[in-house]
Amino acid sequence: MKLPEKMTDKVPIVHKKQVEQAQAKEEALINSLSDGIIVRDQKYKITKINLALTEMLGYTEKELIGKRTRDVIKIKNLSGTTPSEDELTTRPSQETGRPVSGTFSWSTKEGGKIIVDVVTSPYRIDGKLAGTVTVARDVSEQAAIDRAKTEFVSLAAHQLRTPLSSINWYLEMLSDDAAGKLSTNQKDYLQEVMFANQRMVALVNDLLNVSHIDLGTFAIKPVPTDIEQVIKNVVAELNNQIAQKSLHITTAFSGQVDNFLIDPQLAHIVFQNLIGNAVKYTPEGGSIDIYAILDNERLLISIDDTGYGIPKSEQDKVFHKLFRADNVVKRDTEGTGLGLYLVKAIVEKAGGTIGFVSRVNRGSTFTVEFPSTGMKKQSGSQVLAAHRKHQPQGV
Amino acid sequence: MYGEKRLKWSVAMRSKQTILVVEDDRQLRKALTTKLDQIGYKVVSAPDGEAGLKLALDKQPDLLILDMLMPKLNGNDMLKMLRKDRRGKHIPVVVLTNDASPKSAQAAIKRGAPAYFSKASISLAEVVEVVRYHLGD
Repeated sequence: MKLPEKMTDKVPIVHKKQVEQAQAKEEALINSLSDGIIVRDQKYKITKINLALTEMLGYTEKELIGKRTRDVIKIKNLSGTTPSEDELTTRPSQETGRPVSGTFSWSTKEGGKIIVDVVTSPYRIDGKLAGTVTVARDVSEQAAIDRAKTEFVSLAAHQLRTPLSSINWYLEMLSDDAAGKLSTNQKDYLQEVMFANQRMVALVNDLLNVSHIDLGTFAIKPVPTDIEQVIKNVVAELNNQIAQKSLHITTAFSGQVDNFLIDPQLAHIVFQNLIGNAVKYTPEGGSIDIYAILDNERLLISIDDTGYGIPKSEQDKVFHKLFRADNVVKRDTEGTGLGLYLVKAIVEKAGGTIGFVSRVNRGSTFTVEFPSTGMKKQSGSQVLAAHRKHQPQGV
Repeated sequence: MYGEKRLKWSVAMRSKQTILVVEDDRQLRKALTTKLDQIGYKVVSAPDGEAGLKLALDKQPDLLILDMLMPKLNGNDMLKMLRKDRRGKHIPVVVLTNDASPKSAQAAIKRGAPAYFSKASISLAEVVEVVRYHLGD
């Protein structure tokens, strides 16, 4: 910051030197950081950057100061789409008064692309909002490694689907006596092989879904959908297990839930996992209550069970990949441990939030919330797979 | 067994409908043709889109079961060429694939494929249901 000229005559030289030293120190500090720094005013115009940012992007200070970031730098989502102002971090941070983070692709002056993790925070002077500060870290190398790993998983999982389909169909024909009548024992063993194969298909589908999520390539296509029907369809799919365990299921709906903007396939996957988990991890005779409430502000869905619960020491890992709590792994060795990771990723990408409360041997309540405007649309080259066949068009 | 033989006879006598299976994986192709033959349909098959297109135009089957990801000519391109020919315009098509791309599904449905299924998630019994539905059995 420069002192106004008319003051320089009046301010004693010793104070002027102190101010200049403080400014030089501030410059040195900000330029010593390896992450890029962008300071903006309330109109989103850049007022200050650091050396790391100029090196990251190839632009000079002069080319950036006084401009809005995206007037100079081409910014894209990882999926290749152009983010809206609300999907970036500056406006949300300024409007909410909180730090907002994101990962984006930035174009450099020379036309290259880098992947950056950004965190933008509002800053205040004398209690009043003065603008925002963004810290940007170049994670291109790590992103390339992660992408290669994810693409490998995606390719391997995709290749596995064909032989798994083959195993499924031949087992089916064998158990239908298509190659000769089988004994009861033989049919029982075949049944076990078929279940194991179905578990592999479910795992492969989950791995593929996870890779599509990690690569940001899955589509979100919200259409007016009857939430009550989606939930009832999922419950119907689970009827056998519900009956076997004599579980009591109640559902309640409030508001215009029959016409909510949601991707029906993704909603199905979300409820399939959440309600499926409630059924799987609730002991015989237990109960599961499912509510969906839509008001002017939000859609709130709650799935409340009287199941085994999640130990407090493990609750922070619930949404991690391949996590399964110790108290349920001992009871049931099935399950991929990918379901909740998928659900959280889908819900958050679609603009919603997910949370839960749980107590061991008392049960869990998972809640999912979307704004009343519905799921956020996202273009993508892949659809995520539910654990059932696709419904045919027109049938 | 008797019930199935009787059903096979009644289907054959009723319709003698022909199904063309175009699928590059040998085992899946064999499973589909075996099952549909057991049910009483006349089944012909092809291991790639090029051979499949030729057979479809020559035989004009009552139903085409089509894979998407195939060598020589993929399912979408085969369907495109089939629809351009007056002999292939009206053949009903059921797509059975492990390609999860919505673009692929949309393209196929746009070309008049009334059904699109994931092979990994559908049983043979369900395939038979879909076939019967589209053949009006």
